[in-house]
Amino acid sequence: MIANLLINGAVNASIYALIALGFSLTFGVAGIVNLYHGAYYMVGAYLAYFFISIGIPAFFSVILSLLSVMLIGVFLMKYPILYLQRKGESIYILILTLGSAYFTQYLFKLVFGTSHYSIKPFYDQSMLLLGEIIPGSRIFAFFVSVVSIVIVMFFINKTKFGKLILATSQDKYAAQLLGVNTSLIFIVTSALSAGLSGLAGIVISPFLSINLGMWLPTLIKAFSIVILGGLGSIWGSILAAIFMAYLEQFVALVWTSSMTEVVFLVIVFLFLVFKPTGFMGKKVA
Amino acid sequence: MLILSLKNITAGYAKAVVLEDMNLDINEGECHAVLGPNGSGKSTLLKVITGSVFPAKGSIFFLGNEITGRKTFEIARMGVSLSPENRRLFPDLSVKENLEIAMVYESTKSKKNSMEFVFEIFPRLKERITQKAGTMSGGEQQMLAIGRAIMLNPKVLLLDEPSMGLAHVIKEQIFEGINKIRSTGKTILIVEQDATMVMPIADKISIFEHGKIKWEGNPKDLTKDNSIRNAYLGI
Repeated sequence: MIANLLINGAVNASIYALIALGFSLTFGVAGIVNLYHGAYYMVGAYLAYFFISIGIPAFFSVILSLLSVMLIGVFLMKYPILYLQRKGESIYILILTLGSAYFTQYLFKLVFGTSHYSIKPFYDQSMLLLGEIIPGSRIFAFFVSVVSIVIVMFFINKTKFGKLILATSQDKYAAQLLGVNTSLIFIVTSALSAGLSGLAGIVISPFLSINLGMWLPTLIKAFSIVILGGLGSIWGSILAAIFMAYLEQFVALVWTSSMTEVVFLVIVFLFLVFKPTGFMGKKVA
Repeated sequence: MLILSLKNITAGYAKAVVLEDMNLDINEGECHAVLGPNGSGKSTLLKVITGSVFPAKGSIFFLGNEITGRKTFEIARMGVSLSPENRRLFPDLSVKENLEIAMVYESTKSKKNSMEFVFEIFPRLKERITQKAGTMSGGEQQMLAIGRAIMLNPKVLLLDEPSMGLAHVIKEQIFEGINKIRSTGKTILIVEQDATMVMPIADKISIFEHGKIKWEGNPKDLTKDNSIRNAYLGI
């Protein structure tokens, strides 16, 4: 029982961290709260299912799905979001991204109907750990998430382009004065964020169902985690993802799993009131 | 030779006009100082040149090409570099990283050369090379802001109130550095409130008031002209 809770918590933490990392990046770099973030997760899962169902090998289906999700990320940032940001009203961006998510849900309902789908595990070798049998699909999801997070952290902190992303996140205007095309940085960040969320949607598909309602709880979790971790703090988000994943297990154990989002939002509320900077966020001057 | 030229520029924010029908010419190799009280349009002038405030009327020419309406990053890449008001450093990056941002895609050798030049001008920065910019003193941050702007090896260096908020002895160090940059033949446009600092190094001075040029000439003439000095500079 306890072992099961520990293991599932770790698997979920890695996936939540993967989703929240993208959400946090877009906020930290571009200052944008993208309510489409959960939809990337849904689109990633549905498209992977679709490509596999028409006979494309699993690996290429995943790549195609990821590229499509990243393309949506590029498009959303390049045209409507940057346009609205120049207008200076962040409420427009919230409405646009939330509306687009509902529109995507509607579109998928027309194409795929209301059935639940699943895809075959990419890796099916189960493992015995602490007396519990862990399905291969969960092990796979855990490793893909952890490796992706490490790669993204390396990309941001160690590469030249990553340095430009960091500089832009700290002072967009100063970066422009030094010849940095910050719109391009925003677009790349958006593609990266979308890809991370889409990847999370794909790796969970073998053990959670693909359905039209999957994006909203994901968005709420990403949102809660990023606020809890401290807006814009990547390490804070990872810490908060671990906290939230175990909290979720605990809530499910002592109460019911359908109250998870409520508990998340209550915690977010308490943090906003008593410690608005979250675990590791900085005070904004 | 004319390097930067503003023709009939009117600019401002919403309905407030800050610069009115302004004409200003910057000659190559000159250190041109703009003096004037708060709200006279000095900083707006630099924002208009660097493309972060679009003028309502008029044109800006850089080396004979019109740059009005160009994006900030494009103007920077053409060779116009601004050390902005309030320094605007990347607080969580080190001194070295702050300097390198402008040149991330340049070769290691040219990066090193530019950085050596910055350290010649402000040796203090070399001692602080691994320190995070946000943890340095105001004077050191100002040195880094100017150093970062010259990393682009600009054809024109724009400086927005480099002495703001600094003690007199620190101001002297900053202006000593600016004078060293000037002596390499770099064109400089400097906006200041502290006339005593700027007068010794300027080749030409423009005095702004209410978005218009009240007086223009060289520092020698200004020392003779008591009425202007008393009215606008308080020295």
